[in-house]
Amino acid sequence: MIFTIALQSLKSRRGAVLLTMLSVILSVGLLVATEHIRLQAKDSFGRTISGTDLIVGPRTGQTNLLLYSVFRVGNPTNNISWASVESIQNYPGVNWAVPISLGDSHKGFAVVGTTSDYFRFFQYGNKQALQFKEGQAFDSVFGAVIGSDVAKTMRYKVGDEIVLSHGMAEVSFKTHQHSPFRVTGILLPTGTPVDKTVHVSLQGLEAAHMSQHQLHELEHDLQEGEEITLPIEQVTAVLVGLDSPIRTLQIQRQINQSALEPMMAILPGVALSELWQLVGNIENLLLLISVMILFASLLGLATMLLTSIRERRREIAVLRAIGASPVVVFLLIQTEAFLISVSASIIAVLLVWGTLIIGANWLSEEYGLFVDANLFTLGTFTVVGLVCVITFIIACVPAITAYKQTLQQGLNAR
Amino acid sequence: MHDTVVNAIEIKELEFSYAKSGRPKVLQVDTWKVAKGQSVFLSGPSGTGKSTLLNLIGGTLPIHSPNRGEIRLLEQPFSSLSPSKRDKFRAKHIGMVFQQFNLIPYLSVEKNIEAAAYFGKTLSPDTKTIAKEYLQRMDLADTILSQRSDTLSVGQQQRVAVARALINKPEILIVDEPTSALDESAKMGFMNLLMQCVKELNVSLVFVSHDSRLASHFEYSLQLGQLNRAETSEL
Ligand SMILES: Nc1ncnc2c1ncn2[C@@H]1O[C@H](COP(=O)(O)OP(=O)(O)OP(=O)(O)O)[C@@H](O)[C@H]1O
Ligand SMILES: [Mg+2]
Repeated sequence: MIFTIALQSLKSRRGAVLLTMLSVILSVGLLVATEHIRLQAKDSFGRTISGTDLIVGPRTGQTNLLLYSVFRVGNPTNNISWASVESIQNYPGVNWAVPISLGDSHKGFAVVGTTSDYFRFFQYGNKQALQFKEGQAFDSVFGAVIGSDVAKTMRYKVGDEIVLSHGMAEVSFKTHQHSPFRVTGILLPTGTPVDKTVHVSLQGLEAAHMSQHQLHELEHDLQEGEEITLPIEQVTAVLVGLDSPIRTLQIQRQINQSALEPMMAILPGVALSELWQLVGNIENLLLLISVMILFASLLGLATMLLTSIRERRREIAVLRAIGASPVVVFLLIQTEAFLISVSASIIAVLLVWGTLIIGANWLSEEYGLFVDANLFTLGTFTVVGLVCVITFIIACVPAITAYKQTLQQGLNAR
Repeated sequence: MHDTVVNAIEIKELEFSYAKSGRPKVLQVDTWKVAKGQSVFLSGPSGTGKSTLLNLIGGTLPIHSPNRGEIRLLEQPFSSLSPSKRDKFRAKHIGMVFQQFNLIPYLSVEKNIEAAAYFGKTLSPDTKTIAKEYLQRMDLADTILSQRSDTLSVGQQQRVAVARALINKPEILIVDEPTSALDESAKMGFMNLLMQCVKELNVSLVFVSHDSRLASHFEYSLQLGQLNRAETSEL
């Protein structure tokens, strides 16, 4: 009965109720979306690298090493020698070690020099290996494997010729007009920085820095069918996979204490969560702002109800006259508040859900952002639960006002 | 209630003034009784405490200290019941009708009556049938049930209010100036229907009005001043 009365009462004040609902819908939607994207971002952040037990690089901060070796952000200042790479490969317990060389760019995309082992061992997400959409890994000096975003943005196909430049700038002074790299493979999207990377062989990267004259000679030799070997002196970092993760800390210590040169080995998982804490603060701020907006809209709801109490004095008097207790009046106001905020929450969740379903495709195609449209997560339920709790607390103001009013005055319908 | 009940309303040593201290005493009634089935017409100038008395009898105004006195209804110590028991007692045994605004405006007539039955714990599938019967007694068609109550004329509203007040078969009906918003002919029609209904259902009626011409409908009428010893400023 209380429910029926509450519903009819809201219907009779449609205008104000709909406006209030709209503001609650917007704020709940904002909060649900923020929380969802935050969790998704955290998730996809953790997905960037997997199956790699250690990342080895020159002594620097662990976040710094992670940033440039995995996220291609920032420039490495130091390198490690090829001798160190070989020594790491020969450590007992090391299953694989893939060197990478960074610092070059191609039309704004990062160029990474590596070996073809990279495509065998590098994993992302939940231990997913890289897969080719077309072509295969490079087997020559001038082969290049490009990420899906590179292919899409630059409209490259397998067999296309690409030009590499030194330094991470869109337009570089020193463009290597005559380094005829060819695309040998295009990777499937991964939702990680790999999508925005051009992979070439370590030797290819060396060749890209040669003078035009040297380069011509090299090309010529290659066309003649000669074996060419370019000495690799340095790499930026080494991705390491171990036989068994049990020995991770031990091997990490060995590398850190290497007599060859100062090096450091980091655990990607630990470095990722440290980095996330940095990024997470901003996310938390965003979350806080959304909660405040939610709070404000629910305050608006309470204000609407409080204003209505004054107009509803007679109606409340009638309820008292037919034997409704003050508690019933309190519950009536609370029910009205809940009807608004719960239905607004449901609409908000459905709206965000719909938007995600429609938008997810577009996001992954345009931005390589992988957002799971499944909104029915703990985070969403937490938000809706939070809405209910705040609604109850805030709606106590009008509800108690109505309650007291019924207690103190007689039923003089003035 | 059992047949041995003789007094519907019994007031003893009542002293009442509105909450804040320093307010003048509104009511001071030594003793007053209304027998079961009796209809009483209570009149008096404006502001002398008629509505206050009805609110006290209905329990919508509680008697807290410094106010004192006892109100017994149907031989029960009504004024000393707990607030929630008082609410339940009112829902079951007392019907109330006011000058205006007796119905919840956004509910249909049916829902208004159902709500009263709900709080009086008599809501059943038969409620609608009983409602129709009372509406008929008050000379209203069944079709009115589905109408939103704020679409009714004032005269219709007042008659629905009586039907609503009677739905739980209360022993006591308290009515506060129900006709003051009605024109002369509607007023006479309303009075006739009300008195007939009350007589047939053997309800004790306390009817308040400053319109002394209405006294002719009652077997028993008095001025509040005959009852009230408090010095009220008559307006
Ligand atoms: N809720 C209230 N708070 C404080 N004073 C009140 C309240 N209700 C009534 N009074 C005062 O109590 C006195 C009696 O009021 P009451 O409404 O009982 O008179 P009444 O006889 O019903 O008058 P009327 O014929 O105009 O309806 C008046 O002086 C009034 O100002
Ligand atoms: Mg009055």
